[in-house]
Amino acid sequence: MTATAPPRPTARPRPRWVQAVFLMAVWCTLWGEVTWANLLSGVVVVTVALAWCPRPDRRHRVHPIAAVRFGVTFLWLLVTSSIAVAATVIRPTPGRLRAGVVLCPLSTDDPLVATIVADAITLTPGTLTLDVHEQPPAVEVHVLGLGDPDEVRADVAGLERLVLDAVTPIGADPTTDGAS
Amino acid sequence: MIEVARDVLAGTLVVAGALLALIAAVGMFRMPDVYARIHVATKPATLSLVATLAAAAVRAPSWGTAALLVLALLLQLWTIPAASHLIGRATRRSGLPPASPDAVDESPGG
Repeated sequence: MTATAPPRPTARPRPRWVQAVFLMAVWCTLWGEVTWANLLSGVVVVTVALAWCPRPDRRHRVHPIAAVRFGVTFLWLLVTSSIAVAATVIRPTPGRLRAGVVLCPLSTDDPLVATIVADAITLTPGTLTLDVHEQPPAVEVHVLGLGDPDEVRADVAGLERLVLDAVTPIGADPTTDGAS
Repeated sequence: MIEVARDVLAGTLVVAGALLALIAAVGMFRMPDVYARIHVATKPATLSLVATLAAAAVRAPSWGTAALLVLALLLQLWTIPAASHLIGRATRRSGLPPASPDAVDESPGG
């Protein structure tokens, strides 16, 4: 019965009950205790949330060391970007206020990776995600204190590489997604 | 001794968070357009929240409370950019250009 290989052998979606258990854990943590009232209201909220949200069609492999590296880089960028914006607020010079919209191509169309990259762009120095294009994959970025647009593109490409190292899509990679 | 160190760390974080929140509020008035205001409302405001919640976690009475604060922090880091992204996209699609006269604009829509 298993003679024919499925189209994406390793990309089977995570079962829904895993998400449900995870969301229940978050819900009870947020309320601070596990009671019957919290469990019952949690069942309602989780059911509605899961029914509402589209089912992710790809799975990802998380690399812990790369994830920590991304996390540390991200926190550092958040600190420096806050200082940079604070400087702009305290002393708004024309150079610091020079703004523009730069189109930055992405190398992957994976929704989760694009989400993390777009979030990280918004919280890093000078840049803010305005829009995300799927075909071809790209993000529209508003830059405050704009210098060279190519530098912005290089920064975004670097961020994307960090995210891809930390969270690798299973099945989307050409080396693992074969017709074998 | 450890109590004193925890108080100093928590106090520093709270003051830093309050300062960042103040700067974000001032920036709301000083920035030239919606896009620049979103920058101000997103970055220093997020770090302000990180610092304040971290301070509360340092002085938390129990590990459970600290874990709750860290969870709140992670959810905020995940959702704040989504909110500012929606405001930015709505502004963009309504056709409002950035205020800067020498602005670069590479978006396909113009």
